[in-house]
Amino acid sequence: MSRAKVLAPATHGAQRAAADRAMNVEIFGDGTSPRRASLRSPGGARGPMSGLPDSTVARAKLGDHAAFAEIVRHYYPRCLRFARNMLGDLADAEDAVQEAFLRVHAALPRYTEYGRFEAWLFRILANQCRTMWARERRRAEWLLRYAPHHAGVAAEPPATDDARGALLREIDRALRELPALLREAFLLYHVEGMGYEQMMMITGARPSALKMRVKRARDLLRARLREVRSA
Amino acid sequence: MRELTDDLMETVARELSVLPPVREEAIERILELAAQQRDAGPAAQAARIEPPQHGAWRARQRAWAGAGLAAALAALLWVGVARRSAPPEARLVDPAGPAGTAGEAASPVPGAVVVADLTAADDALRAVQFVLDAPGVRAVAVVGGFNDWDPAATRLERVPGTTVWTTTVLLPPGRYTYAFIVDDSTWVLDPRAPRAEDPDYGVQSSVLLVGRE
Repeated sequence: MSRAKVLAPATHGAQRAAADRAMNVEIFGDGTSPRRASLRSPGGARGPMSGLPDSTVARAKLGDHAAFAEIVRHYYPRCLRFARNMLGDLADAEDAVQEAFLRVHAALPRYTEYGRFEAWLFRILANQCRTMWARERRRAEWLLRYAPHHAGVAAEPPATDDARGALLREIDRALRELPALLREAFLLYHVEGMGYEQMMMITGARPSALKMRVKRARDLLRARLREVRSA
Repeated sequence: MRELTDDLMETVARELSVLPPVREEAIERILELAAQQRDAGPAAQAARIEPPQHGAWRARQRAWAGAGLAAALAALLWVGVARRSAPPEARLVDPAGPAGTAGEAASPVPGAVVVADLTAADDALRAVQFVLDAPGVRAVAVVGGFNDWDPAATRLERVPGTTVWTTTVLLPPGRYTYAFIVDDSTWVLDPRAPRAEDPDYGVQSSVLLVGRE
């Protein structure tokens, strides 16, 4: 990839607004976007329908590059969405997804969890996102602790000219303020449409703990967004 | 929507559900790297090393990383020799500074200097020497994208009898931002390197370009 990482996390909302425009999503006057039924699957997952035939995974496991390409093309959009929401930056998300797919490719010969490929893939991706998020936090910690502040604060996102852009920035900011585990649980459940059993396979946490994380994330997001809106 | 009973949370979930634009070249890159991974074989896959680093060069690093591990070990030994007997290939890669030589590496001057290439390959590791003249200090570390900005990761050692601190790290070609941390508390920019402002936090770092030769 030949792009410099110049997108501050705070620009995430602007990125997504631009992405929407690219996808011809109509922006309503009240600052909201229309519901997009095409993003929902009967199983609750939003985006391309989850689940590839086991035969595709089996072929990829045997070294069939075309089958691996099928897997990548099928899951890439959802993986990118999850990573973008976890990391708050599209360029970082691309890096995380690339790394996750390469790890999947390297581990496929040892893959035995047939019927659970999606959970396996997301487990690898979630681990990668956690690693990258921790790295980014460490970078921020050292930069802010030691470095002289020339600009003083993080770069402000570019102003957007619509209400929806402002809403997206608020959502992004609130999401970033969530602890990573809460954010992860919220996204898997409410955005990726996964059940607690599947989330358990991805995170290693028990369903009861996951339910608490989702609820806590929801409460924190709601409180934060209401606070911002009332300010 | 699942268990979301208020409009605000409905909106949050809906907005986060929008799929980002997919770059076809990003997918092609994954498939290309996977093919390289397959061709390199399981041993090379197991030997993959992943220097913590942001950005554009990460993808290319993976291509050589397997073979690079063994080469890196050999290079560490070689660098010790290189710092005493100037290899003609050595050069200063700082685009803002004057061209350096390996002779400078043997007698360190402040800055970041490439002192050795490991192989003739485009993506080979380069041995980069970081040097800081810092009289009267107790410790010097270098932090940057290549070491996760961790001050404990890359400590400089004082050249006996001098006030010069130095260390050598192996880096693939790419652009790196870095800074020295003196006495675990003071952020010091490289006086010979160009500077760049961090887009996220508005602080300045030095910039090092390690080129392909």
